[in-house]
This record gives sequence, C-alpha cells and structure tokens, in this order.
Amino acid sequence: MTITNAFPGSDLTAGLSIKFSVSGFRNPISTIAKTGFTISTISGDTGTVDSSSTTLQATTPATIASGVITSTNTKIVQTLSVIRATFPSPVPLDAGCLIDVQFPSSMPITTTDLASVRGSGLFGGSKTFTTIINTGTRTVTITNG
Amino acid sequence: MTLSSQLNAGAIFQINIGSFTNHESTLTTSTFEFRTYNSSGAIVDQKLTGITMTATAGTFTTASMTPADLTVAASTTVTFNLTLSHKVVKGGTIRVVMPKWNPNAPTSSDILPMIQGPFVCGAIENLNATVQ
Repeated sequence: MTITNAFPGSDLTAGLSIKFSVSGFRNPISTIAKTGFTISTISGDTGTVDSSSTTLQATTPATIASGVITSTNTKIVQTLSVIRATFPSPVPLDAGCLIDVQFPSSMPITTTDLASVRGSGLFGGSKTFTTIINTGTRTVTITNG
Repeated sequence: MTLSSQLNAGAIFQINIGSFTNHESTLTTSTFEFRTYNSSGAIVDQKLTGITMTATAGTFTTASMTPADLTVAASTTVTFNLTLSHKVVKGGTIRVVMPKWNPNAPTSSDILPMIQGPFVCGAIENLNATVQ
C-alpha cells in the first residue's frame, strides 16, 4: 500500500509525529502478534528515508457463532454415550492447531470415560485424534498428533 | 585542499571529511568528481565517473499499528502512528508492506491480503487531509 498526496505542500521534519488510519483491514487470524509489516517513508527521488518493521495484534478471540453438542446413541442418564460437537470456524485454522472442549462443572470429564475422538472437517479427512484430558479444568484438548 | 608536500604517481591518499551529511534517501547519488591541480591551477588528474555513495535507511523513532477492534479476524480500521527520524521532502510517499492474512492456506489461490476492499486512508495528524 502506497500513500500519496500525504504532504505535497511542505517537508515533514525530523522528529515529527504523523498519524493516519486505514479502513478495510482484516485483523490477524489469532491473538499472536502478526509480524511482517514494514512501513517506510519514500523521498521524492524514490529512495527510502526511514523504514521500520512492526506488528499488529488482535487480543480478543473471535466468537464461534454457533455450536451444538448432541448424544448420538443414548440419552439415558448416567450412561456413557457418544457425543457429537459441531461448530463452524469463523477464521482459517493453520496446520498444527488444537481444539479445546471444556465440559460443564455438572458433567466433568474423567480420564477413563473418554474412549476415543473422531472427527471430520478439520485436520483433513475423518480420523481418530489424540486427546489430552485435564480434569482440573474439565478440558479435553484435541490434536492431530 | 592544498598539499603541503609532493605526492608521487601511484600514491594512495585518504581524506576524512568531518560533518558530512549523507544523502537524504537510500537512492544512490550521482557521481562525485575528484580532480588534482598543480600549483598553477591546471588539472593534473581527474576522475569524473563511478564515484557514488549509497546511504542506508534510518528507522522511525516510533512505529505502531493499532486496530480499532481488537477481535481476531475482525474487519476494522487500523491507526498508524509514526515518529520520523529523518526529514522527508514534500511530495514524498508513505509505503506499507503487509504480510498475507492466511499465508499457510493449503492452496495458494486461497491466500488473502490483509486489506479487504473497500478501504479508505484518512489523515489524522500532520498529514494532508486528502491522502490517497
């Protein structure tokens, strides 16, 4: 992106602070600071005057707009069942990503209850995933490993 | 500069010029010209081509980008805040090189730019109101 006509009438002096805004930006796809931005001032002779690299960071996770959990075999109380979680991802997910599913306190997950996790639409075709269970946070972390 | 003693042919000499101000940008200068004169003012040797200098770019004192909406993947307005280390003569430009939004997409045609139109650039401080 090259910004022209920004200072046609007078020089910008050393030490001056300048500020401008650009709309239509997509924020980064995760809360990790996005690197790779280079900002430069270009003299009228097309040479670079100052140049710096900077980052852009979005600090608030995007919201998964909808999610459904259903039991696919039995809904009888206190019975082990197969549950299916379905949700759309609002942003692209890079290879190597993880999925955390936190269970409610009224239905905590245990390390012996979870037999296997299979899925599709993520990490390629339908397959069995590796899981890590944290009973303290009632969280199942699903990985492709 | 006037020599106080004779220099023989083939002699190599070095001149250090203090308080030399480098070129205003990284563009390579046109050539410097070297000449030697005898005591009568006639040219002895000269080199009129190929003596150039190329300066390296400075860095901004501060450079930051701040999105108005801090939500991941949101479409938003970003404010750029720069403090110049060096003067830029009028008529210059500001260039921003951006990374790709999703560079790890499995298909290169799916890789998107950080800017999604329509976009508007607006001056906030010390710039012409009609930046483009």
